[in-house]
Parts: sequence; structure tokens; C-alpha cells
Amino acid sequence: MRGTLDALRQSLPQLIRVAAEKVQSQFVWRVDGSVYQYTHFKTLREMLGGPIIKPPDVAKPMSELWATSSVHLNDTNEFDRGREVVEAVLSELPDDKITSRMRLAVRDADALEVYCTSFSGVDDDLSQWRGYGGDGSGVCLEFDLGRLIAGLDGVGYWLIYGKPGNEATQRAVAKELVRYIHASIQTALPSPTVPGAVFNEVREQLREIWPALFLAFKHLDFSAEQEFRFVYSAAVGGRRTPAFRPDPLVPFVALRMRPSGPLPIKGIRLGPAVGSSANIRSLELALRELKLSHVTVSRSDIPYLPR
Amino acid sequence: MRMRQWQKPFWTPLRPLEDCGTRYNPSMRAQVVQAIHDAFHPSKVDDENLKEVDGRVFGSAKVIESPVFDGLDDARRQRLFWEHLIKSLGSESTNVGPVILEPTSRG
Repeated sequence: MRGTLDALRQSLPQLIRVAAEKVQSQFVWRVDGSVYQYTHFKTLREMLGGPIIKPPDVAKPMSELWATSSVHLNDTNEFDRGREVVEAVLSELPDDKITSRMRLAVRDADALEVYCTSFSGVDDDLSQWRGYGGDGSGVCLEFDLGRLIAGLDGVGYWLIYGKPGNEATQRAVAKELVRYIHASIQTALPSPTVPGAVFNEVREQLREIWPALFLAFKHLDFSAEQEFRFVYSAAVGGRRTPAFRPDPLVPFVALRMRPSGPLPIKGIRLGPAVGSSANIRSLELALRELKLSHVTVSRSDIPYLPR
Repeated sequence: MRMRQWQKPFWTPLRPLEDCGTRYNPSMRAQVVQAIHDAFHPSKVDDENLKEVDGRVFGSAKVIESPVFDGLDDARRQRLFWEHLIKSLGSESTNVGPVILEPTSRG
């Protein structure tokens, strides 16, 4: 049973993809090209070595991404939105012991130690600069999606958007997924009689699996972001001791590439408010000294000046 | 003269499977094994414990002598396997799995 559920949780992103494509034939699940992460300039400096960057002393620049506890996401209802969708479609499954454990595990699931790092499918976008890129004074990191999916810790997927009153897609995708999970458990159950302890284990394991699934669903009002997300939890890759960053105390874990190496960053775009030629040339120099000269530097094309 | 059922040659199919109103795909198990081959290029796949019941393929497979497989953790193995599975089966992939991918030591 444990092996089956382990394999199940590791297959989650692909299952979400298949379910999404099945439900919406026009759904394009991109697995190559670029995704973008808008962030503050100080985050870029941290990735390059710290507040003061001294190239010879920097051991592994740009080799990790910080994934934040999902209780600190900007959509405050995010985890609950996914929980609601999954809970609703569970009522459409056969009323048996497996479904009952699935339902109990939904209630048990907790978001605290489930970590997320998010990307957008949209390059150089004003609302992204305003929302995440320091109001135009930050940077936009361009990642190679194919290499990210193949190498980064955790599970990565595109989000499925919806909201109460407009949730047909979310529900259809969730229904496919819970049906699959139900069928998977059914095939793995020992026969002819199933000891109660096995059902307890099912509940325990599902408690860990659900959060990664809940986080695939987001409120429709965020759909312009075209978010691709990596999720990490003990269930997905083993427990890691979290670190804590300020604002005021946010748990996070560092995600890395396997085999180890720098993140697949192709380019850095400076925000509209910091895209001066002096900044571009200084960043190019820093990247060259850090042996990251393959990373291109550009500036935003948006004529935006924060006031 | 009309043949009785028992007189028919044993290999005569009574009804083609596709007429049975089921989505059963007789080659699905083979496609799962092929996806393992395509993903990891092993010298052999031991599929003895890979079952196919009611059109659903599940169980475990041993991936024998594959440097690609040995170099990945469990999550990345599943990722690569599914990538190839989706290429060949598309939306029918939800009739597969979960499939436990087991390593084997070379002794």
C-alpha cells in the first residue's frame, strides 16, 4: 500500500496535467519554453551572494529557490479553495470505506509545511511588476521550464482557475483526480479482507497527499497570472528542516536542482524603475565574475514609473 | 453443416473485443513497459508484477541495469516515466498506475 501511495504522490503533476487536458481539449499544458519569476532586487542579490557580492567567495550562486509555506500565499483562501473543490467532488464517489478515509484526510490536511514557489507564464507584465516585482524596481528571472521540470525538487504544475459560480473546469479536473486516487487505492488493497490498520494508513498517507493537490486550484481572479507552481512537502520529497525569513516570520525551504548545479535561468530583466544602462552593465559584470555569463540581461519595455 | 461451439477451432474469437462496449485496450500493458524502456533505456524490464485488470494497469516493475534510472530519485523517475507514458497514451494514461518503479542491484 505504501509503495502505491508513494508512486501516486510522485505522479501528481502528471495526473493533474492529464486530467486538465482531458477536461479541456484547448488546454495547453506547456512543458518547454520559459516561465518568469518577478521578485525584488534584494532577492536577486541574495541569489548572487548576499547584500555585498564578493565573487571569489560565492560558492554556488543562483543554485537555490526559496519555497514559502503555503499559509503565507497572497491568495489567502488558496488552500481552502482547493479543499472545497476536492470535498465537493468526493460526494460523487462510491460511498465506501475508501471514500470515507479520503474525506477524513481532507479534513486532516494542513498547509503549514507545504511549500510553494511560483512562476508566471507572462513576460514583462505590468501587473506582475506591480504585484511581485517591487512595483517596477525589482527583476524578472526567466527560467527554462523544461529543465526546471526535469531537475528541480518538488512537483511542478500549471494552476487550474475557478471560483464559486464558475467552477466547472476545476470540478471536472478534481473529479478525474479523486476517481483516479480511489481506483488506485482499490487496486492496492489486500484481499479478501482488509484490516482496519490499512484504512488508517490510507487516511494518514492521503493527509499528506491532499495539500499538493489542493494547491493546484486557484481563484479565477488570479488567472491573468498564468501561474506555474512548484510544491514541496515531506510527502513529495522527504521532510526538510525549514528556515525562517522575516515579514514577520515566514517558514521556507530551499529547492535545488538535481544533479546539483545552477538554476536554469536564461535571462534577467530589470524592472522599469531600475533598468538604467549603468545597472544593466553592472549586473552583466557581476554575472561574468560569477561565471554566469550565459545569463542575458535586459530591461523592461514598459514605460512605467512608480509614484 | 453448422458447427457446434465446442467443434469450432479454439483460436476462433467469438467477438472482437472492440465490439464488447468496453474501452479495454489489450496493448496498454505493453505500452507501459515500452514507456519504461523509452524513459530509462534499461537492459531489461521485469514486468512480472505488473497487472492488468479491467483495462487498468498497475503494480510494480523492476528496471534492470539503467544508469539513467539509477541516477534519479523516486520523484524524478516517476516524472520521466509519466512523460513518456503521456506521449504514447495521452488521456488514457489515467488507466495506468500507480506503477511502482523498483531498482535492482546488479549483484
